[in-house]
Amino acid sequence: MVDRKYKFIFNDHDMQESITYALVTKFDLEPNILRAEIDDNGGMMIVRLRGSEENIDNGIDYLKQIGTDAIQLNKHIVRDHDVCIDCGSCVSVCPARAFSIDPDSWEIHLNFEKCIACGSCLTACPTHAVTLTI
Amino acid sequence: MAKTIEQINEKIRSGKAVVYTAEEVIDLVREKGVEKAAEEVDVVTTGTFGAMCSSGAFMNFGHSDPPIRMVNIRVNGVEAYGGLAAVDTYVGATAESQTIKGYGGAHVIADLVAGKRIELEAWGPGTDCYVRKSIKSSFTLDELNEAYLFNPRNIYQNYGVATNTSDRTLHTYMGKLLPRMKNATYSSAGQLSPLLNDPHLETIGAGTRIFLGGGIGYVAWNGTQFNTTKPERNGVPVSGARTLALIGDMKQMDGKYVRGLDIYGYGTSLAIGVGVPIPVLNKDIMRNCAITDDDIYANMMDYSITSSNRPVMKQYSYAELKRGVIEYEGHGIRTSPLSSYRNARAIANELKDWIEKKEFELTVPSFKLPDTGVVKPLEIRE
Repeated sequence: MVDRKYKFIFNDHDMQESITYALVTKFDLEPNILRAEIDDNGGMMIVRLRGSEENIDNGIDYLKQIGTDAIQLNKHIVRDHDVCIDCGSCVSVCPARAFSIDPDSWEIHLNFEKCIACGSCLTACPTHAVTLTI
Repeated sequence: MAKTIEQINEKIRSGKAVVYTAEEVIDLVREKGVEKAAEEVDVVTTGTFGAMCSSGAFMNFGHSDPPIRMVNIRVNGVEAYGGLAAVDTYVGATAESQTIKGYGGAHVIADLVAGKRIELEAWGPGTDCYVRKSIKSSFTLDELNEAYLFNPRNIYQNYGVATNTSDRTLHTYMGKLLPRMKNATYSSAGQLSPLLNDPHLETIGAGTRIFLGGGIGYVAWNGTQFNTTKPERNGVPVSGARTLALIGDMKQMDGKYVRGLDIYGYGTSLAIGVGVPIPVLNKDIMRNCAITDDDIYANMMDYSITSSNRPVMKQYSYAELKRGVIEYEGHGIRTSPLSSYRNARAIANELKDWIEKKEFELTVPSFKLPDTGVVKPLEIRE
């Protein structure tokens, strides 16, 4: 069993179709929807998938066939240590609690696995130390 | 047993001075008591590293041939003051570039300290003694005749805690404040902060030698908005009170401790590291230096109120604020610091190191800063 995080983008896709149901029933995957947005341009979802590597790959292939784009999120948030001043402005604005403060060293830590790519930290960081690559 | 600054300097010169940071000294005082600690310790070092908007740099470019009297000056596209003598200027931290978003005077200062080359454009009226009317050039910190920071208001003695009760996100100088009190921000190094360790300025005065941006600086004057009337708890003010005007040679500074900030929706500001040594002359001073985050409080205010007279919502200790979540009327509010405690500690340690290595001696203040100071408001007259 592995965990992988994806961004699903549905452009011309029929919003009525339950893609997460398909991932559960057809591919035995455990989806955890971290974030979902639908607007006039279409929609996107940040999903964590748990399952065997083979099933995840097959599930992603299936999504692409039905017109949903899937981008794997892996180190999609980057923090530049040379630019960061360890102030902590990012910590309380992050809904996923991806940032934390080491209580001993007072260094700011970023756990990219928790990040849901919402971008809230981008406008909180006064040194532009954080970038989202998706 | 009381000590003098001269006695402490003699110990520094002979390498025997006992120096603790304001953090380290807490445990020592707890363990040995104030009296014994006061005998043992000579100097306590403090530190802070955060946004200090009222900062800026005086610079002298040197004269071109033929010379120009600059009245309209741009450094990397940022306006610098043109109301001084021909090639003197002052660039303020919050002056913003008209062309590069999020770049301001603070970034010019930080880039200079980091050794980068800065573009200069200037215009003048053209006079009989300064015939040139415009110039394009560039310069580095080394090439400037003089470059020194003169910051009218730095190292605020405590500050407020900001939250937002409204329904929309606010972008303030206190950082990003989420709607409906989903977060709160604070900006003081607390127990390491210089002016919280000498709350009534018994040792810090005009002429006090300090650590400024990685180099040696001095206290020039009391800072603007110097206020001695703020309510106190445990002997220290619970909101922004005293401030200092600081001066220091940029050529000695270290890019690590001088950084440009772009505070979204507010503007640019300068993050600068300041460390102030406190001579332990007697046990009262020792007691002040041993203050902990448990005993320093700050007032939380609602930044969705646009009046500058915001009511106090609640008081929190820095120990509570630093735990990451504070409680307000049964709800948890997540907290963020805006000033770097990690860097504040690094600065206190670096200053300690300078003193232990005999590179930094203490100064007797030239004069005491005012015992009284009130902040007057500005009336709207039309």
